[in-house]
Amino acid sequence: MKRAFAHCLYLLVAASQCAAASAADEAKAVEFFENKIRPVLAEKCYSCHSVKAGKNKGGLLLDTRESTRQGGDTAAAVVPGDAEKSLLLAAIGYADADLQMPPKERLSATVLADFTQWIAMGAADPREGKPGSATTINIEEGRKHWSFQPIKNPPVPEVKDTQWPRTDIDRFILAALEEKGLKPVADALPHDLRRRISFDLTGLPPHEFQISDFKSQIASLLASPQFGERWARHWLDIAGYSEASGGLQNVTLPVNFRFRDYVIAAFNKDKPYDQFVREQLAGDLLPAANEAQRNEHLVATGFLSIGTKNTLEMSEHRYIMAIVDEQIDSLGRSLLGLTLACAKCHDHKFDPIPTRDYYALAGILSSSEPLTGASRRFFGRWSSGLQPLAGQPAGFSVAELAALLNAARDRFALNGKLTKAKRAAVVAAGKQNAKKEEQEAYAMTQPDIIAMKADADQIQAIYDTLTERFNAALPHSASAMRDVPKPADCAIHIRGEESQLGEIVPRGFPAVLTTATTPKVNPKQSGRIELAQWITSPENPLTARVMVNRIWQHLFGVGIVESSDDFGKTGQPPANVALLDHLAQRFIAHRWSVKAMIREIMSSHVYQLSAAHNAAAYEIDPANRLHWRMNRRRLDANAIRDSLLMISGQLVLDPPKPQIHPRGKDTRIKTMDSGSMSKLFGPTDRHRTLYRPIMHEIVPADLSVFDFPEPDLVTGRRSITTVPTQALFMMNSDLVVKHAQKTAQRLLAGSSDERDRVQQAYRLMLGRDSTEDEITETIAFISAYPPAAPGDQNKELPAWSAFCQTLFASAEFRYLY
Amino acid sequence: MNPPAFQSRRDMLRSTLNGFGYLAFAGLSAEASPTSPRPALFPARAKRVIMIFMQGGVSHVDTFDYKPKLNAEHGKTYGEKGTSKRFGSPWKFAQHGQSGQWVSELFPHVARRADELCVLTAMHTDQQAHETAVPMFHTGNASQARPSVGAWTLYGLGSETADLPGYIAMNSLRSLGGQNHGSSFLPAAFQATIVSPGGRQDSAGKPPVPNIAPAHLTPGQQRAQLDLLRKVNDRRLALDEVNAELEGVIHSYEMAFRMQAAVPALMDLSRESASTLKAYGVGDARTDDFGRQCLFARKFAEAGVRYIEIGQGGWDHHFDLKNLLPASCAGVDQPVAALLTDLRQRGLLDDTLVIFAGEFGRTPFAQSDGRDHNNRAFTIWMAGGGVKRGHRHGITDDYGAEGLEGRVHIHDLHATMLHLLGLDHEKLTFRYSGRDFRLTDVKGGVVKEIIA
Repeated sequence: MKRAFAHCLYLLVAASQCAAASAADEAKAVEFFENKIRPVLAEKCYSCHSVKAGKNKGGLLLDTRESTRQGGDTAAAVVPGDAEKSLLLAAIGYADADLQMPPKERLSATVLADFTQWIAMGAADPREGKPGSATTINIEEGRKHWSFQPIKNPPVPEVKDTQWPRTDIDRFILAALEEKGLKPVADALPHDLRRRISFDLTGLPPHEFQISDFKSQIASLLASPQFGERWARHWLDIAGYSEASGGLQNVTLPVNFRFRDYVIAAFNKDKPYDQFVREQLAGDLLPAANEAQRNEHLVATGFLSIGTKNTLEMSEHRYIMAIVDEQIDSLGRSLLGLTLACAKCHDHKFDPIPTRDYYALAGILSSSEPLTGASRRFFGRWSSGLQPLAGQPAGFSVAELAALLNAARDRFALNGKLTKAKRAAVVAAGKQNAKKEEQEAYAMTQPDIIAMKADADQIQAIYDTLTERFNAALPHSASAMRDVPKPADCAIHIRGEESQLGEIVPRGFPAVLTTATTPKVNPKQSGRIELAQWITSPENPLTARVMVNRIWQHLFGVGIVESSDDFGKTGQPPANVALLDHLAQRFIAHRWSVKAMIREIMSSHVYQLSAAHNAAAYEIDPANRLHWRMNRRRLDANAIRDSLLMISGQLVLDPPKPQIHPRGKDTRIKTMDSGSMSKLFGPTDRHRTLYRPIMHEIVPADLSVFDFPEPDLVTGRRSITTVPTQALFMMNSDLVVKHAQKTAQRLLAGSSDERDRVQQAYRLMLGRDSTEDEITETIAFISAYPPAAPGDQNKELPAWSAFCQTLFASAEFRYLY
Repeated sequence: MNPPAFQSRRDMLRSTLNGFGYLAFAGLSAEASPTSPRPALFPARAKRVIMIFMQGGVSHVDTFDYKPKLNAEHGKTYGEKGTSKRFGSPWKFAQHGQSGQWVSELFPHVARRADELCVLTAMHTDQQAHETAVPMFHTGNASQARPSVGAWTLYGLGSETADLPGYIAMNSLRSLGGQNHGSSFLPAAFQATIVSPGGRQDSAGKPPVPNIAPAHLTPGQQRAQLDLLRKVNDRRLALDEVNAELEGVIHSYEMAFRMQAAVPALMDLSRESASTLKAYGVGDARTDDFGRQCLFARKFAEAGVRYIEIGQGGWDHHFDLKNLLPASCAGVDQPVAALLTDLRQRGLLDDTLVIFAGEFGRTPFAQSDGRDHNNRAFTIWMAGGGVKRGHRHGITDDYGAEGLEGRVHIHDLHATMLHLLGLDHEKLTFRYSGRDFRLTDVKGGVVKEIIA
């Protein structure tokens, strides 16, 4: 079809070349353009391919002679006199199913002939002018965006009310408030502040009621192991942590927990953030002082290796590029607040990230292989094994994994053939209606079937042995990265298609974020070392800003930049850029210490404000972007469940022992229900929610109901919904009912005095003393509580359970004030 | 710690739903929940959808796409190596109704409703395996988890009922990859509520909707408890002066309480007449399960649920087509026909879009004594909701192997569904990861030819 079309064109061209030769009259050719060509271009093409329309789809502009001849991403659009090389003709001729222009309406045969003739005549085109930038991106212009500018060290502003500020943070806040004529509200009540600090640092309610020295409360909670558990979960949200591969096969990945535990330990140790990031991007390439450190570094790279993978992908090239894309998206948004993955198919629509910058990064990541234990169904170069840990018995090699997969495939095929053959034998003997056992027995008398069965058994034995060895190797391995043997640059994939490769781009970093000191990629390595250096350089304008903004967000509910994963043009501008830069500077100056930054923010006056309403301030700044008060914040799914367990006295604070379940006989372990999951991962019921197995698509219902994120998303800020299913959960779920009852038992055992019990309940659940009204109301409720059946004497525990459940269900329990 | 992302309920809705296409104009009230009804962009032909999903892939050449030439050449080998064997349909086809729709004898009840059907014979999809084709059908994406068409619908239009979930699915497709009923990056409020198939309690005694009833309290006890809860919340609200989030929580309990009453009442079939149950095949072992699903679908539609999916698996007939396909058809034929009749009689069919579809079709050549997957041509049908009645769109080749004219891709189907609901598939977008996502990605076109 395509060939036939080209041939037709050729004839047309040949016929019209004579015309071109004789019609030397330039004016005539231009007239032809003006009459026949320009109107079509203007009417049918400019809307997507002109500077005026602001669109250069496929990198193509058709509004000047030069840009038309230059063409777009693929090739020259018009080559004077050469129809074959003029891609424009192929496109408007609908010759290629993938390139048909205009997309919605085929041009008439007459118009097509006009274009053919015009090109044959030499494609006269009077449209002068510099072509608009084929990439509409201007890097130097792009650098002017606030977040790409170097981090400044803004002077601490003068404030009118010099009494209120306790720290410099307060001076930045107050200056902005005073400018709008606003005043901060009063300080938080001690019980509210105590509860706030406790949840912010540990995700748990305060377990000691009588603390009034907040400085020591902060210090002791920062030093508690629960701090790392809380803040690790924030990081796991953006890392897309899961114990499964995701994708369609959703293979369970039993050693991913090592990455989770690495993150917990890193926050508890207060590992400097730059070091933390370096290890996660290039830990396998970093020098290590000993085996323990070597293992720590390997496990850290789980950040890159645990992402979603479609192990059913048939094309290896697509499989690799999909992983690379997931990594670019994830590291871009989590570490830099940049939506780099938008530049995969075309230049970024809003930010100064041309497609070539995407492929410069892609080369680094495609030169690095994730070793995850997720076996691609179609084995190939990247159907990875697992990374053996140092100082452990030998792991399970990639070659062995290949053998395992082949055995699995052969076994599957052989069993299929065997079933078919048995069926055919049964049908041939006319025994279709016999009993199953009889059919089986008959089939097994057939020599060919006996032979096939022997083959199948043999493969099964090989498969079983390999599975056993794989399972034995699991405890000594991790999901991690390594460089491929031959690192290489990556070609631009035009429109993201692997079938349309363009220029090969040297490995490197987005131009808008590079300076003279940006490291150059060592061609013999993947370039992840340099990637880590570039990201963690104090000169990188984004890294520190993005992280301090995340910390601020976790302590105030909203970041100084509200869109905490997007610092680009489509993100929100910072509410107080001077404050953001001040914090970023301090963060770097304090050796990227997360704990120091948290302590500094929590010591500020603004953190310790109440959440009280103020009509005048609300009028001017209803969204509280300037922090005239504390935001009220809803507890997240983890905090809600952990609180239920802790208040009822059921929570086991020690982390559970690692559970490495063996891979089942079926290599294609698919999505499991929560029952099989808890069997596989061992009982974690009473441990913190963080330790529950999390797998793609089967996030436990008691977590998803309160907006626990799907693991395949980068979630810097969880969404917050208020829906009836949450109310039903609080009213009727086994979990809430059970813990309300356990809490009631605690109250009943603690005191025989009703007033004391009410007091204790309010302290446990809401972190404050009850008022006189509340005590009266509760006692009335208890005494009037209807029995389950008339005359039922056993009503004390049911009534107190119902009361405890009410407090769990209350809005106050769910919110931090 | 979870940030209170939003300052007030009104702001929350604005932030959640706005900046994306036209939803900003929807005029949300301060008390609205994320699923409060929103007006369509242009006059809608359908207010709700009932998706009847036949997982596994219905053999179109044995049911709704009549191929006499295939039948005539039954058993003939072809192909370069001569290894492929044509497999004619063992079942008789006849024309039905005034429209003369061809329907095979496997669907006698549906055939009697032939004039309601708008049959699309040249459907196609990119995906050849169940694990990829099912998410493709439900989310428009085979490789990454994306919001389902039901979630997009609820996001675009909200729900017409405050007593029931706005999006209900009775067929769990969890084992088939993707998020077939999920909301992905859309807020969780837009995902389906899974109602256990058949609407009965499952073996563990769990209710059809999670947590829908208190197992531990009598109605009197729960009333007392909720009265106390209301007092506790009201007192806090008074203290806070202005607290839209808290008002939202109070509202959610009110709605939950109504759902708690409405769902079991709606799913109680004891008050249905014997003739209704019989019409749907409830009580007949072959049709009982799907009959219940169809009857519940009608009741949910009537109650204002926006998107309802019901379904039956087991259509993957690689083997023993002659015995297995009739059994599958018999399980759904009468209930589906009863649903169409019932919706018509109640005046609901005009604004309810009913779709009967699988993830792909089956080959016209034999694979053992069954048929393999065919993603290049398959048949679905629609009824009601603004589509032409007694109409047929698209033509396949003589064997039903490939579409020749009027080919409709899954993206086109999605675009058309949204169009019938009064939504523009190019404008219904959600900003995620720095990009405005849509159900149809960058593809899809409305199939105008089938719109009445």
